[in-house]
Amino acid sequence: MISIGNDIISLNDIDIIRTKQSKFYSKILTGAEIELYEEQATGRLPFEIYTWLYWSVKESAYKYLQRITPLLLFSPSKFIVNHLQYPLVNRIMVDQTQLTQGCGFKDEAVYETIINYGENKLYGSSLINQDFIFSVVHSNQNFDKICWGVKLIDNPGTEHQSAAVRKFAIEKLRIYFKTVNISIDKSPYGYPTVIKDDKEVKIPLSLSHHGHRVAYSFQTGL
Amino acid sequence: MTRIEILTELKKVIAPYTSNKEMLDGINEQTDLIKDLKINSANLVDIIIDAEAKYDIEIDYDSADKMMNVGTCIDVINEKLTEKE
Repeated sequence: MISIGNDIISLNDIDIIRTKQSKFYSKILTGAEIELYEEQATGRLPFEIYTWLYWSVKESAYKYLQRITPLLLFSPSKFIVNHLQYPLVNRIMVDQTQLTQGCGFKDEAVYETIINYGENKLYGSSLINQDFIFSVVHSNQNFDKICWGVKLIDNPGTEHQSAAVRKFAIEKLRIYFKTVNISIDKSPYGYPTVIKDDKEVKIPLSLSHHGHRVAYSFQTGL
Repeated sequence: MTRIEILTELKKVIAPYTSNKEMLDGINEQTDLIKDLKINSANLVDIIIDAEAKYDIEIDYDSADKMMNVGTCIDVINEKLTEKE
């Protein structure tokens, strides 16, 4: 089964002081991941960014696998990030746009990760700037067929976030399918499904929202 | 503590992380933290840590994994309180 998972973290909505407390980060990072930060990431990423990057990658990996195994529970310590590749230009930039989207990440400064959950090996691509961390996970290192988008919204209320992220994804899906007759439904297990001409299409879609940010990703070329 | 007493205190722990105050007022053991209370998954660790502080307990990885609805949260807190006695 083909799947996808993404997650967005609004960095204006995280508690930096709490994130740096061991009682907090030790519920997200494994001992090996904490050691990896001390060995390789100190000075390259602030610890709170590192922690939330790993959270977003693990949450995305969970969403990927939950579509295949609907009753799966999210246990951050069981999703192991074994590899973190920094972009060539490792600077956390200011997000100067209200909307960022594309297909693939070739023109982006991407943090690449490899995640293991039991026998499953997944690949992550993450964008980081001063406002958000956005991650997408799927089963292939090549993200060229993954379309994604991140958008700033005015109202961070839960109902508004949910409506805004659907509207955002539908706009892109309508362009991709060249029809306006696109909608998004929810499976009995909670993951989103794409409906075209009243029929579900096998395009894996993932949605996420946090604070003033909403994000989507879906796979094309199927 | 009885389950009802734990539930009453748990509502106070959860309150800062949900905007669905109407649902919070009427929560029961089946209420799902994410689906019903619309709590962002990024706040689940906050709730676990706040519960640890509230009840002076430590919630391990395996127990934290179970805390998806109000009933399982009460189960875990009850279990940890019993272990402490």
